[in-house]
Amino acid sequence: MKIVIVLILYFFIVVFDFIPLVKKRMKKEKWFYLSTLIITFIVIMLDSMSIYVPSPALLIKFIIDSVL
Amino acid sequence: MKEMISSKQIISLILLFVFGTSVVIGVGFDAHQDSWMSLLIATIFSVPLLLMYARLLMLYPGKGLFDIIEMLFGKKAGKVLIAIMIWYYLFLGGLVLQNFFQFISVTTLPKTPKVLIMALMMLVVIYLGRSNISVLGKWGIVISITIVIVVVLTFIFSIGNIDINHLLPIFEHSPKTILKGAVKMYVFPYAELITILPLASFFKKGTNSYKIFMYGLLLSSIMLITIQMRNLLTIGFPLMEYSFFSSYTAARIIEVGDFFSRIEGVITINLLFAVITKTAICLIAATKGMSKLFNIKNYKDIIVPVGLIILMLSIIVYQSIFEMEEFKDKYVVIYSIPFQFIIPFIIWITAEIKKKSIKVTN
Repeated sequence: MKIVIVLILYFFIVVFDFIPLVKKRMKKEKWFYLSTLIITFIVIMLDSMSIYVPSPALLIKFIIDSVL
Repeated sequence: MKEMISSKQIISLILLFVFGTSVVIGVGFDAHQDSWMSLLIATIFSVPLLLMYARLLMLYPGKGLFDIIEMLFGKKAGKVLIAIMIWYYLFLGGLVLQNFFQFISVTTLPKTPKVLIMALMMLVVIYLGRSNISVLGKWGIVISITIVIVVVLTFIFSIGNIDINHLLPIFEHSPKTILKGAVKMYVFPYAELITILPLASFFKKGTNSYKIFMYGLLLSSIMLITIQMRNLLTIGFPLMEYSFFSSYTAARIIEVGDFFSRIEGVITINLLFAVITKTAICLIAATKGMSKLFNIKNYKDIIVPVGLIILMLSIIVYQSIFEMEEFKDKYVVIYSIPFQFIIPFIIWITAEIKKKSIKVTN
């Protein structure tokens, strides 16, 4: 169920937002968009498949604990 | 035509930003029945900080935080500082969204998938962020009026449940404990107003930033104190401490006659509106920073991918409500200090020195 939701979300984003941007031929925007799209998709998909993804809060906690 | 936002609209956004998640999840409750004092102290502490933010904007009228950073520190050092601030806005947006999910999953939708709730919220936020900034401003006015009415009404309806003994004994806690609570409230939500600074490029010409921040602080503090007093007087500190969402608990016990009860849903709607506003402000701030960092002309072209980053962070940041409580109680103050105080202070001092040196050379 979660996986389907993620797939639908990304399908609509690609069709209605990313492709029109690509057609505008904006290079920087396109590469930024594409890289973000891929990274976020992988992470959200992993979480949806109940595969543990380490939280950035853990790193923050670790840094604060080691400094103090 | 340049997008603009009026002073009243900015004040309403400040009110909603401060209201945000802080009211429902509750912060700085270390001093229990004396926590209203912590709130008052936090408000007083916030004055110099917000004056510093306002001064920074007054030195460079019409410029947002990222424009100021680039002007003061140049391209390379400026980009490092911009990247640091972007991280703060992204993570804050993620935290706000996650707080909302924790609330919704505990109170209303325990079995609905996290990704569905958050994705739907994020789509609304992206829509708001992508619209003209005046849409956000108008939304701010309408929603802040709605929230104020709800808070006043719930306070009036709670009068029957008020027990003044919940405030006693006054000063039971040491000044240190009261101050500890004050510091937490100072950091979250008042000092988070650093998020408003990148939006300064949308302020109308001649906007007085001092007035905006001071009125915003005054109104939001009145609201927070009203809510804090309502919760304290109706449910008291033991229940407030053990309940994750004290406003929701306080609203649950409201009953007017035999026919008007179960109005806690209104609190959920209040939180929903405030979270949308707060996340939209974080999103716009982060996107403005990203567009500066990558030299992208129109920030709206990348608002969706930045929204996806916030969505991703909100999904992975906590696995449970206990992790959220631990982070809020133990780490949030120390984590926030560099972004809310140290970096803005460095920027402000540099701005003052540069301005003075320009005056001297002239």
